[in-house]
Amino acid sequence: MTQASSNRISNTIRTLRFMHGEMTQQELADLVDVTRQTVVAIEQGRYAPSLEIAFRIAEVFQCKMEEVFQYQAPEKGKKAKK
Amino acid sequence: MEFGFIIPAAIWLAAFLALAVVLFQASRKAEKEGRKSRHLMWMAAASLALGGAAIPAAIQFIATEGKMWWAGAPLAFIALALGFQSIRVERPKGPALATFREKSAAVSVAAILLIYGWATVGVLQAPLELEGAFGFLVGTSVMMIIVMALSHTVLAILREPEKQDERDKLVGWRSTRNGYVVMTVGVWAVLALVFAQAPLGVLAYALLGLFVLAELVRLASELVYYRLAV
Repeated sequence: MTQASSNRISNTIRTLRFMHGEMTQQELADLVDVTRQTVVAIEQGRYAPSLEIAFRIAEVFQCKMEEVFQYQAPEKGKKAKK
Repeated sequence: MEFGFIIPAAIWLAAFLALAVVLFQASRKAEKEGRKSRHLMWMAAASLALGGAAIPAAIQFIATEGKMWWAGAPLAFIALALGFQSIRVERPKGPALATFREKSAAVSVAAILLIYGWATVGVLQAPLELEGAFGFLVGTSVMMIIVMALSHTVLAILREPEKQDERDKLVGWRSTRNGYVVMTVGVWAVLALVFAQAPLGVLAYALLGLFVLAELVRLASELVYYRLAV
């Protein structure tokens, strides 16, 4: 599971790709209509996609969005990083 | 003022344009038949460039009474770029290390640092008078246009540019915001120079420097956002 340190959103895209016939990043990018570099950035937690792209990714893997993306709420008293 | 050269110039231009059309058709036919047409591509681009350069060259020739005929060069380069872009070349399809936009930002930063860095060193060594400053501003800008057109054409030939996605847009917006902050602060700085009654030449350099700095910040921001996080 990859977690973005900045926005507390993690994802399991890499695992899901592996479980779906070792789908390549380029294949996922083509299915979701983004560039391969955007898929790489999402996987590494460097970019939190829009809701629309997140739904499209979940649709590709035929699973619920919570199975693809997970949100970890900040601890009380700590502000989430910008 | 002599206008006798207009008719031969027009014939020359028409001949080159006709040649360009014939070469384009020949290259497209070659491409459809699966033959490589690189030599045709070169010839088409060159003929377009020579033809395209004729117009500004002729205008400059008349306006400056025989001087500055080289003013057609920028259009020639643009025509060359168009010539290359209008003909499809086989491009690799595997995964790319960076998107076209990221490469474009990197190439632009390099071009700006090279051209304006070189120009700045020149100006610092021997400051120009107002008239010279104007020529300097125009010259460096034209050089930038030529370098950018050529480098981006080469980039586009090497690999097909991807469609812009939401991350590209976000990177673009945030980078433009950063450039705009620099531009706003810089405008106030230039205004301060105006009120301090700085010489016009200094103001011209300051303005150009400000545009260059804002553009550098925008492009550098793009590179950082693409590589780190946005």
